[in-house]
Amino acid sequence: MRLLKVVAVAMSLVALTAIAQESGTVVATARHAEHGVHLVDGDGLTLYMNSLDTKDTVACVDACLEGWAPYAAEGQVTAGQGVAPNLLGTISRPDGVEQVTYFGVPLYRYGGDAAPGDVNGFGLADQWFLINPFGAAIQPPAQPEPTEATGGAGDLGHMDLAMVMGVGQEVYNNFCSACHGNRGQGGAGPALAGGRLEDNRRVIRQVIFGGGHMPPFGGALNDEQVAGVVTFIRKSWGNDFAAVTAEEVSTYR
Amino acid sequence: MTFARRASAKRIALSVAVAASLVVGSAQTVEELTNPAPGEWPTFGRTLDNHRFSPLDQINKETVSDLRLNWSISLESAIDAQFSPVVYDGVMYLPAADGATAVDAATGDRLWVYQVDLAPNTPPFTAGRMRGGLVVFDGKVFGTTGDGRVFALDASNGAELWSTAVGTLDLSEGFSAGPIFADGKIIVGPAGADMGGVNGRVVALDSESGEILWTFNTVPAPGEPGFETWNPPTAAQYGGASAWTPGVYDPVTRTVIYGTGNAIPWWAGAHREGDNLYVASYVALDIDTGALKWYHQAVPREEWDIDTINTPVVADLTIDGQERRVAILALVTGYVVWVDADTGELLQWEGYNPEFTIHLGYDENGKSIINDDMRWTEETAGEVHLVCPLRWVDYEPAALDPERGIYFRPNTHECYEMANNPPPAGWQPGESAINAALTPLPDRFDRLGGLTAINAATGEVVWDFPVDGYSQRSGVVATAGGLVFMGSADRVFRAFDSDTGEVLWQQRLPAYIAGNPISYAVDGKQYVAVPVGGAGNIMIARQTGAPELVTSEVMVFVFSLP
Repeated sequence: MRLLKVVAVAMSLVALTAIAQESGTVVATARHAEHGVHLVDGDGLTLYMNSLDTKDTVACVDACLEGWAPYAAEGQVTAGQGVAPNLLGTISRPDGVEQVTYFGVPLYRYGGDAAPGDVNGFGLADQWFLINPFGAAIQPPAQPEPTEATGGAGDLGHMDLAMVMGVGQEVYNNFCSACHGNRGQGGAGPALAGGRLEDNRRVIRQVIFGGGHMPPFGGALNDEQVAGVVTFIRKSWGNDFAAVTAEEVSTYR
Repeated sequence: MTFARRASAKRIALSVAVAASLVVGSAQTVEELTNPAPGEWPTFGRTLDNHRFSPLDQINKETVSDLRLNWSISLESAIDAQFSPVVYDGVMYLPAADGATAVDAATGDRLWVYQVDLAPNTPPFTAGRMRGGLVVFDGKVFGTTGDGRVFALDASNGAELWSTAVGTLDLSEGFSAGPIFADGKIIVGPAGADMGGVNGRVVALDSESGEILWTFNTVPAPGEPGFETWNPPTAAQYGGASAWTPGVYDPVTRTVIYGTGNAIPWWAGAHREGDNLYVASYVALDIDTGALKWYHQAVPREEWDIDTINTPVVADLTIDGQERRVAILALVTGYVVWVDADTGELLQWEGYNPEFTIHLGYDENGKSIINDDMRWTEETAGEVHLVCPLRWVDYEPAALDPERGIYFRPNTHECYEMANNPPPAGWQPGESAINAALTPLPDRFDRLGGLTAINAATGEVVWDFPVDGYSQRSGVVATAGGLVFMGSADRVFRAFDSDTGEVLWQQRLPAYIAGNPISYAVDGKQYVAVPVGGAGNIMIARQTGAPELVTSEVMVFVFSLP
């Protein structure tokens, strides 16, 4: 058995090498610790897209190309592991180069990358991005995420809290109790008493955007009302989680 | 609202004489799970092909009037109890979202409890519900947890032998269903697409080591067959097609069949075109490799929350004069379809809901006909559409009486008004991607819930019993005694005459019933067990005539003759 396994491994190595040598141009995938799965070339070097280009159109020419090279198609363009063959294509650049595309998006290599795993071109000029195997751009986050995943914003004074709870109770009675029960015991919707409400971000977004069988209430409720009802359900029926503020709610809109 | 449970496994001396009718053996074999002894119920559907049929007949049409409570027990938790007990060698094993409990099947005395602390970010749909059942095989008990673990325990004392993290908790992927057993492997379907946009999967683990043997992606990854049915391809990166409910294994064709849920987001519009394989489908996989053998897609490019997840039944049936190995698939869209278990060929289909607005039947190629007028475009976003039925069946398992050739199908005439909208801006994986409003229409038809006895070969209705009041979400067990047992949300546990649908016995219990009854024997005595109570989430009630739903901690009630 062991011998068989060794032979099988050896054969698959041969097969991989053969693909790399015979098939000219390869598009494969790699996983980056921070950016996730993205496209790479046959040597494992990162492939990029330029946001000036659009689907099936090359706009990145001349100065835009300094330090960058279109990923040229030589012979057959083949899909490596995790790449959809039906999304591979080529486009003729104005300079005559046949450039590999993925879902119509032209692919490039960066001169500053030397080894697999390098993503030194990522985010440069605010227009060079990675591309995932679904054909979507991987961009730097547009705005920093709120740092605290749970809890947070819990320092309301005693009077303030009473007011927020009052707002929340009113909202709850009008919008929530029909499904979640007048004591949070559940009904058409899940029980909130003893519910998993630790994650303030999740709870706020559930109220704003809905989900499961729950409709969205972001249109009906303003930030104060959302903060009120989220605080109310997190502090009623034996639940004891931190209050949330309208300012925090507004960051999730 | 949480109930304290004994945290440590307790070993209690257990002396159960093996009944004469039982095959001897403390270590179960594949053969014993394929053809269980008459008194045993070792996996979710008793047999691997999920017949939910007990060959016991001590409790029968003549004796059932003497049926009485033998024992009951509280499991001291308040989840949605949508599961089935399993019994092997005088011990009953009960699943929970956070572990398992073993009790003496003749007395209810607790033998051991295995309990884990669920991760704090366990999604509510998997922290608060359990479907399917545990698997008893080779002296081990196999189960799943709400936070995505698959575990194996020593059946004698509940000690953990291995635990494998399968679910991606960051994307709200956990388990709402227990495992199934297939050829020495443990098969699981992680859930959670609606919560976080995770990709549905069917995963096989080695029962000895817990090692993952193969994974089938129910939304194909780039490069996998079916990926080309997502247009644009970016629409395939949001997941969907979760396997919320146990599948079935057919040992004859060596096929694992799982149903899959809706696409993510619910919204289609210009966001996703194509058939969107394998959402709202049954996928049939080769047990050795996990490779796709066939699929049956109920609703291509679904956009109405079409969870096609009801556990199939596989049986030998004579259809149009030809003996075949057949998978019976009950669709959420109101149909039962009969397909060849090995090839997926559509043999026949029949609609059972009083009204159909989305899935209108099948064309000559066996492909579903969908009413495109009920789709939304960017211009018609937010319009209210009648989705009928939305949930003719959900998780509740049917039974097949092979002697009578009757398929007993719990079902619900459940329609909704739905207004669908594009997902909120800035949505990212790990968050709910649903932006739809749903209004149930519980009083649209003569009845809401019911039990329909269907000729398993022809599809003809033999009888129909209206439970009414509520959706029917408890499964059934059929017995050789000519009886079918079913609990309902009206708190009544009923025994029906299998041939006529007449109620021969009934008992009102403390809380609503959404679990699945079984029948088994210990020391030559036949028992009928049913899980009762729970949190009561997503139970639709009639506006007229339904008493208020009674929820409770989860309990098990067990009946026998005196």
